[in-house]
Amino acid sequence: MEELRDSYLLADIGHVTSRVALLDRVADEYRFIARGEALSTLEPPWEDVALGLREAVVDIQETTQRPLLNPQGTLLIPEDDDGQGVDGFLVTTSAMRPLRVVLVGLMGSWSLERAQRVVHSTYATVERVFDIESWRLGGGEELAWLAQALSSDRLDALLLVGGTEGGAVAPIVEIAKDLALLILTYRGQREPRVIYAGNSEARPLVAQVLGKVADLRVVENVLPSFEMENYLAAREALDQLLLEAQLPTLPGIRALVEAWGLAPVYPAAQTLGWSISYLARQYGLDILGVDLGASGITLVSAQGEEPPRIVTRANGLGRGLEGFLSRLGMERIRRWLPEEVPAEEVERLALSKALHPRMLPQDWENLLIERSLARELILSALQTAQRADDSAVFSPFPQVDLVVGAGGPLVGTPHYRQAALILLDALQPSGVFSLALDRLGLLPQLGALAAQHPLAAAQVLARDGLVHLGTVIAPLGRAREGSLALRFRVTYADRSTLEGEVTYGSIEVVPLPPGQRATVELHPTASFDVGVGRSGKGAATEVEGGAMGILFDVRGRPLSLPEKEEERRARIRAWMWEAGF
Amino acid sequence: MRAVRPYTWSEVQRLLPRAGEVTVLVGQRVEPSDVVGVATLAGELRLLPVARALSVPEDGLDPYWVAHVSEEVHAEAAIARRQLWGPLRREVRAPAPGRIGAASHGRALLELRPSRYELRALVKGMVAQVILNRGVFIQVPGALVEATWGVGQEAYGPLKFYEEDEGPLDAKQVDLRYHHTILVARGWADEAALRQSAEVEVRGMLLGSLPPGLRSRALGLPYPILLSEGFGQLRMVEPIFSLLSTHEGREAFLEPQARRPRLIVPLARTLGTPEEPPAPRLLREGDVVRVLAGPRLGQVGQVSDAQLRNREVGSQIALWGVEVSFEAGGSSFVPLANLELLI
Repeated sequence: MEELRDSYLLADIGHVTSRVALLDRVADEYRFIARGEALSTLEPPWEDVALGLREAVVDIQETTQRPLLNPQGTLLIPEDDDGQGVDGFLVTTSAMRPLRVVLVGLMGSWSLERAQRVVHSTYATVERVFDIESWRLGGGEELAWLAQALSSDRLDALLLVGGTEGGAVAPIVEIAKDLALLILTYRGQREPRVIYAGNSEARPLVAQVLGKVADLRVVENVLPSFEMENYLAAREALDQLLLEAQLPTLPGIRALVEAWGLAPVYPAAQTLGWSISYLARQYGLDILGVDLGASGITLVSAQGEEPPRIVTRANGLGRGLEGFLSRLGMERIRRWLPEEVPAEEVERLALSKALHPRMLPQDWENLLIERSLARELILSALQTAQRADDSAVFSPFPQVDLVVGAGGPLVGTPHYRQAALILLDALQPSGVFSLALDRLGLLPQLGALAAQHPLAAAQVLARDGLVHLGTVIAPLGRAREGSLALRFRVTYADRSTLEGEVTYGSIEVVPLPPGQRATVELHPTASFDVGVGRSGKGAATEVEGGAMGILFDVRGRPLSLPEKEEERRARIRAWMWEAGF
Repeated sequence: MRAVRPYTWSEVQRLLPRAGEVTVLVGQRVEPSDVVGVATLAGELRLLPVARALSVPEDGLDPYWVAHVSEEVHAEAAIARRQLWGPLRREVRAPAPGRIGAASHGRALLELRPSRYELRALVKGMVAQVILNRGVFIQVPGALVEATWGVGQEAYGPLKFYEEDEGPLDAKQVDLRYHHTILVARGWADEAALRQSAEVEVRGMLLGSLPPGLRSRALGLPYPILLSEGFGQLRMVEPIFSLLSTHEGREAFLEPQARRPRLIVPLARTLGTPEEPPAPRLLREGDVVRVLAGPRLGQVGQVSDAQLRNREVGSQIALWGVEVSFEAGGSSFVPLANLELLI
């Protein structure tokens, strides 16, 4: 058994920001001590991730006055008797280029649909989907594309699926033979990687055919039966490939790992899922997590004891933005702006962000445009999740217990309420739920730590992991603008009360400081359901305070924005004002 | 790495789209129009399940092939044939004219519309490395400008400057003088100018910027475009313009799909020793930088104080940055995230 360590340095290398957190044992408990942050240095002109990471560690050294680096700039491991250095070092990253995956399977098979879910659950993109009939019956140009992609090493993996357990073996073996011939003829400079996640009875034959021509990895069937799916094994195989194929392409990462000791490196989406899943299990919650970064976006659904569902998209507030903007159009971005900004200026700034993902908003207008982009990116990722995964947490107007926001564009807002409004506008959750932010950027790192030292991860997560913004009450229903939608009474711990009314189309914030609890009685009008499953039915619930307090979001679901631009801008301004910024 | 280097080594990778034959040797000097590799490309592929069609085992197909790998076949030509008894036989015929690309695992791969692909050097330099059957690395001494955005295929041609130094490229002035040249304009272009440039068959274009609405138009042009600054109406910064001005008329190589799109002007080795690519480093005092966002967008300045400071800016966010003195006058705190090292 591995010896448990006392102090840890947890690093997260993002596309734009590198963060480092120092954890140590204080008395008998593991605590977060300090964090450092610096600009990531994987892009030109630096092209060496170690530079940014070192700056982030220097930041901690200056804060804590605890030496962590030796004069050569490498990490001091293990911690010495004088408290210099740390005992353990872990790295998570979301900065890797996503895996480019081609799916191959039987015609119209459910397996191909499941395989798409697998790809969406990690940093990977589906380049093309092939079924055996499409390339037999006139799909010659598509086949030529595949040959070209193999030949120029444009693919990172082929995921071959098909058949349920006990089903026919021959069709999948036929596909394997087709692939083998293509690979033999068109392989590029490196051996193509193939993951087989189909009918297990076909494994020996598939291995016999493809094992000689490709780097073949065989994992459990993604669709053992029509009633059961199993995408964990295939996802783990993709995650492993990600680390093997894409991690080394991060400039300077190899030298860093060698110089700073054996640091396991984890994909941040996976470890974020572990952290959120831990919270769901520990507190029996349904949680929706959102991590918006420069290189992509990750959504996590965690429900109690269930394994986390993860959906990632390679469109972040930077990388992938150019294509996203082309598909979306500028009006979708402009609709969230409270001020008039010409479409060309919005597009210029958005494209500049795509060219320079590390660019940060220096003025108010830039900030507003970035936040509008953030809303559409999250909304679009949720729509992808709805197609890719049947988790109720990803459904429209999700009813969850907790929404967690993470990533620079969300936690880096000047006011927490801005982040809250972005999450509410984009996800449009409903019912009564809590909102929290991963302000310190610890969630992915603690997920990684949990793999080595669950107790330390759990203790830090419980105490320092999240900033609670407060409770949101968002009834479902529609009414005439400005008409009464909800009456409420808040009874604080000192027995004092506050009563109020909220009209349809508005937001109301009631103070409830962090750490305090209150009872809220809700009396919706006949058209509104506060999450009890029946319109007009009242409810009482105990809620927890936070940096924001209690926020009544009575704008209805789906949010409707006025058609006329001036009215729409006025509405957005009103919501910002009502939310308190 | 810096975005502008007057005389440095650059390495250009030229790759065949599929395995073929490399026609040059290490150490060989190449000119832009030299062919460095050849390959046969297929427009379409067909997989023909020969063993199944003939009802023979996959490993017993050898006696039945009529056409063989690399052979050209006509439409309806027999590829494999199995004589049964009497006049009865089973045949696999080519569904269209093509070339047999491969045969194994009981099937044949028919390449339809095959064509010969010639990979040209597109740049003057020396072959530094041959990648077996795939391509070459060409080492080039010369001037290097890294752009912020690029679109299109690699190209080469003589640099030809648009005469007006201010404002947008005027379509009326894009005439046959720019035929087969790399057109360099300090400002930006409108749609008419992009269209006219296609008419006069420019080989490529380097602009300061492009209005964002023309991005999608640029994707469909028959020539590549590089933007030195980005989208909007931004003029090419002085250090890039000055450097390229000294090379007007020289052949240049455009590489829009590189990790960082770039333009290389190959220069003679007699100019001295090219600078080695600099090691990555953080900003220092005296570095020439350009501003990517904010009130000083597009301006060039010099880092006057490289000490990193955390300050709240107009967006009410506290950002890390340095102090920069600007050529246009004055000095400002600029977030590090919004700066790029130019020289």
